[in-house]
Amino acid sequence: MAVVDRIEHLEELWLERPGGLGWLTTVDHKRIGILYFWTTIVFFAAGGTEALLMRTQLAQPDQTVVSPETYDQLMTMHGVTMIFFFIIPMTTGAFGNYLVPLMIGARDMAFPRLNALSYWIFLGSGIFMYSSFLVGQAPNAGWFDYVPLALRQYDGGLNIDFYALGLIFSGVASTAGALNLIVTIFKLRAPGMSWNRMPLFCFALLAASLSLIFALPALTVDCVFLELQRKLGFHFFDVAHGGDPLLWQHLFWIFGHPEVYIIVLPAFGIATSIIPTFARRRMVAFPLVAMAELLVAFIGFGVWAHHMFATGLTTTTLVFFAAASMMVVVPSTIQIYAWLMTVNLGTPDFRAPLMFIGGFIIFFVLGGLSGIMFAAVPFDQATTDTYFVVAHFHFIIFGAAVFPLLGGIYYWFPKVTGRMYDEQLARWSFWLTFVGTSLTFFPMHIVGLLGMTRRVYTYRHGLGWDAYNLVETIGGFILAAGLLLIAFNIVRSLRSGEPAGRDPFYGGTLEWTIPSPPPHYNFAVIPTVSSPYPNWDEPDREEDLRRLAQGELVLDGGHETPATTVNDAELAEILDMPPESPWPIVLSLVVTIAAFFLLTEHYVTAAFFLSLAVLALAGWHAAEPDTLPVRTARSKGWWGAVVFVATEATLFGTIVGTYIYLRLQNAHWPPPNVPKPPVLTPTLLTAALVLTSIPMYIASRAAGEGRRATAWRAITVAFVVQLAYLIWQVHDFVHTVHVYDPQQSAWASVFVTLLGADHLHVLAGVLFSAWFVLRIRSRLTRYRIVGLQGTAFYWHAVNVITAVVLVVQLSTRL
Amino acid sequence: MTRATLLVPPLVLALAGCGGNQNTLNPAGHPERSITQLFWVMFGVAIVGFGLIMFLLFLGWVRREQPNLPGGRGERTAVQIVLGFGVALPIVLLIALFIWSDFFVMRSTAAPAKGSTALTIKVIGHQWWWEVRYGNSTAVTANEIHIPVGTRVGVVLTTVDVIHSFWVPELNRKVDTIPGTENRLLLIADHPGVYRGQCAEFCGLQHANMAVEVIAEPKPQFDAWLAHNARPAARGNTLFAQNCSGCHEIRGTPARADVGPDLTHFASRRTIAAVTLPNTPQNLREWLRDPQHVKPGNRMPNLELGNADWTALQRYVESLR
Amino acid sequence: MTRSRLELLQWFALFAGPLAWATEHVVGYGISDASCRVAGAQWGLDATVLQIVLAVLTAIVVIAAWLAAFVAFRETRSVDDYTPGPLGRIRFFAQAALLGNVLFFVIVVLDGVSTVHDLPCHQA
Repeated sequence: MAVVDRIEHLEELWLERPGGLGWLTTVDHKRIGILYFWTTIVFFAAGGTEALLMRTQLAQPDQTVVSPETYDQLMTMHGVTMIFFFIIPMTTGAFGNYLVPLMIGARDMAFPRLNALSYWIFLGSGIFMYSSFLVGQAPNAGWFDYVPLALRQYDGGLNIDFYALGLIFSGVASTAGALNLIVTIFKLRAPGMSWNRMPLFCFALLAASLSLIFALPALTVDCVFLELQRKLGFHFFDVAHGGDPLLWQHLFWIFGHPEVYIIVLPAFGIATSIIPTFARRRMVAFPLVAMAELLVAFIGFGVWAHHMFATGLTTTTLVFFAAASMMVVVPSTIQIYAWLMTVNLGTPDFRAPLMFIGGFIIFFVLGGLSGIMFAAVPFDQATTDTYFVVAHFHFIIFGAAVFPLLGGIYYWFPKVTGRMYDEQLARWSFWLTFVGTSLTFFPMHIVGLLGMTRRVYTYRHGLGWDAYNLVETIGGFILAAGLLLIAFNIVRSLRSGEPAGRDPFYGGTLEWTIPSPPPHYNFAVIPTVSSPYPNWDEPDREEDLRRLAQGELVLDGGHETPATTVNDAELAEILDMPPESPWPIVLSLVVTIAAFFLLTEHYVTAAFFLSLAVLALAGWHAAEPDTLPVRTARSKGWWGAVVFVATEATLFGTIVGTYIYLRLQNAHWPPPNVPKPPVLTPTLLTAALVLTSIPMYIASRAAGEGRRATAWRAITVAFVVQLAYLIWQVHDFVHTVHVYDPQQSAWASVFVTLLGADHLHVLAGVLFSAWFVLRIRSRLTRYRIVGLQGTAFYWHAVNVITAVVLVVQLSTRL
Repeated sequence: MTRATLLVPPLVLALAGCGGNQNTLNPAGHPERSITQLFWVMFGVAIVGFGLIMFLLFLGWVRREQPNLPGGRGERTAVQIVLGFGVALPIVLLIALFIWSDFFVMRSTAAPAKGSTALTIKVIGHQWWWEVRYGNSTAVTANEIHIPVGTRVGVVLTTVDVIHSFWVPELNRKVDTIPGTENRLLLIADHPGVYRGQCAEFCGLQHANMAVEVIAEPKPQFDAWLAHNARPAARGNTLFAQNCSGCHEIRGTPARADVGPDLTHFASRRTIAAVTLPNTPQNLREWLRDPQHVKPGNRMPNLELGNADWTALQRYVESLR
Repeated sequence: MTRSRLELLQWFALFAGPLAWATEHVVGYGISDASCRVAGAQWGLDATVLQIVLAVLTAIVVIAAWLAAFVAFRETRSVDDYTPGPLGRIRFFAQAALLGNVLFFVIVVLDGVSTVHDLPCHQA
């Protein structure tokens, strides 16, 4: 078959429906990336407007531009918007989605429909959160929403409920997106792209995604506790009933600190893409830089209490966090010197993208230096909660996360649109933005040292703060002008920019080997890879042309992309990818509606819409891909189940950790007036459930070997026992809640929540089992086999978790 | 580098003189002095580090046509620099910083051991004012703390509602007030003065207007002040009893509530509403008649009294010296 | 050295250090918290001894992980940065582990030294 015919055939295979409807049902990672891009830009503008309103109010002392209530909503929503609805979805959803498959030589993400779902859920959660402004009750207790201030007693309106439900909701989108990125990076790398040949951008996104998986559950659990306390009178955070207000802070920051690395890691990834391209040489100390990205994420999980140094913790507790906070700096210093050595060893071309990286390096170093100061406990205790810390984190978030983003927008604009941006205008936009950023945030260091605390809607004259505040406000408007200039450059260049061609910058990674904009199928032939800079490996690119002509790994038999082994990227199987689908947007719509009903305490209606969501999931999985030849490596579906289990296990670990944390603080646990949970019945029930792992294992093995009848019988046996267990437990749960009464003690609140969470996970497992009882009855396809094996893995995890819950229950007898 | 260090003394003087009396860089006691010293040293090292990075960036730009390091060196040297300056040197400096700040400076700034201070004061955070009680005395006041100069004062802190944070920058670091817990803080002022502080943990609508003044004075003056504040008020007032006693206490009268500050010696205080307004007749008039305008959302309602009643009430409050 | 032994060494080098530190961090924080609260009084914990034992055991694991990384690095010296897996990938992770385990070691030493130095249950 002639090459031009193959390419035409690929075009046909990967084409989606035209027009607006096509955008609603798209599963193409590039289109989803573009959807994320423009949506997050809108949120960026909202967050920026909130900031400018605050700065206007603070330009002079004792002003009344906005009321205290309005200011509190602005400052809260500014933080919430920028973090949850701008920077994370922009870096992971827009840049990550668009670029990762291209950089690893794949034709799409591992789970294209899940990808679409994460976008629509993100949009739904953003609309949910912002609808709070429509009723004048936007969240108002700060983006970290400390209790007791956030409890109903002190904040009785819907504000905090919008916050908690909105974050749980948006967390679903982020988790789905992270899962997708991890499995894609693990399984969909082009043959030959072993770990040591994967581009640094992908390492950065991998580190950020792994962090999201392990950090989000802490926030979710915290928000669930908050809503249970606010809406149903549970006790987690009040001392009188055995709770602890600091529990909120611990859980929040266990999420919150990794979150800031999640924010900055993709920016590092962008920087480490731009630097080699414009320095025209590969990154110095590549293995160390790649490891530094993973290390900073990992060590970052151990520093959380440095946000709590002033809360009265003991020195022996603080030391763990102070030591880790010092060492977490080192991966960043490695990277900074690696970048600078690369620039020095190379012949850098300081066009706009590299200028933004230069600005990034300056701001990152400044923000990092003030960060090191905060690792010194007494200094932190002096300057935390002042404008000094506001300066620190804005230098990092704006300087070190947004600047690479802006550079990245210019850098990949030609690839995404096929047109060049205006270089001269881009340089002006850099200087304007750089000056604006410096003027806005640098004086904050000084005014913080002079005693100005944060989150104040006004301040007194005569404390030496006035001039700095005015300068910051002026800087803010200059910064806004710089950003508008960038936007103008982009929009204008979209229409009338020069044609860019395939590779205007001679970049090293695979996206520069394909046309601009990329065709729907990305690669006509799956590329040959021998290094992290494939576009610089001429022999490999010639090999590609030869293989295209021969039809080797062109994969035009269907909607296909290869899956490889995790460590060494050896070809494992050919995947048939799903075409466009309406289910993601339908599912998201239904879940968004459910969220509104939860907010307004219409629990039955919310449950109804959530069951519609379950039906949508069934519809989603009714269509199956073709069965293609398989090798023996673990499938992407199995890895998806592993990542999903990892995040759910972390969720349970958080609840159990809470149980232990509160137990340490209470002399009587459970409290004396509460009866102890029984021993015999729960043990027998749990044993019965755990034993279903045996038929689940048998079903999984049999299915893998093609023995349909055995597999069906085994899963049916497991399902029957699981269903019986569930019915018994749900019936018992009502009684449990009544007897232990979470409204009376923190012990009961945590215990009931733990049980409830377990039962919900069993319910999900029962639904999965039911689905396969129905599906395996008729036929055994590859899709059903993988699904069953994933379900079996899920069930093994749920059984372990249920056993742990039993242990917690029995420990009350000790 | 020399130019940078020359900057430091004028910077110190500038910043010390630049602020008001809430300036962390103008320490008035040894705990804050040790923090300020820590800051200046970290700042100095930071300048050097920043300078080095900027130099490398500048070098990269200046030598952009040359594909090697100065002296013709290549990748091997580059990796050595990364390991030396990016790993080894930071580890050494960070360990040094850890030991100095967390072993030595922290001795000055950590909570005083129980019973190790001559005087103990209890400070209780409220939305949006500070209740102040003196151990071994019946003295109760609000938003204004007097301490004897040169004396170790232990402050025991808690809150009746949400988390606040007590911070007097010129004397020591901040510490949060957590419901159900008592946190402790050392205050010691080397010389007399008025040291301003402010709540440093967002606590609701009027967080911005929850300041405090710590007044350090010579011991005889302090003793006199304490004795004076321990005394009950000379007389009560019917208007006050009818309109204000639901929230405010005046010791020696039937007014005994604790929703708002104790007003027994209100007229002797420097400020109104947690250092929001100076305590002058004009300001007091404004505060009494329209507290919601001065501090929107605070718990003191606007009352509907006639002009004559307001005048009489104000005269009474002004008599509470 | 056999391929499978080299693989084992590499995975041990990469994961043992972080996992050991993570455990020491959580357990150490737990011991400190427990010993200064109600539970400590109830259970009679000698936090200092426990912390020192914990730190020493963790340090041993981290040192072992570093040594494993060193051996793996030496065994792959004939290989360059872009050699395909498994050898190229093993060398890559060996270098990563040489760096990472140094950091974990320093953290654990600081933890241990501080535990000895600090007064127990003193509010910071």
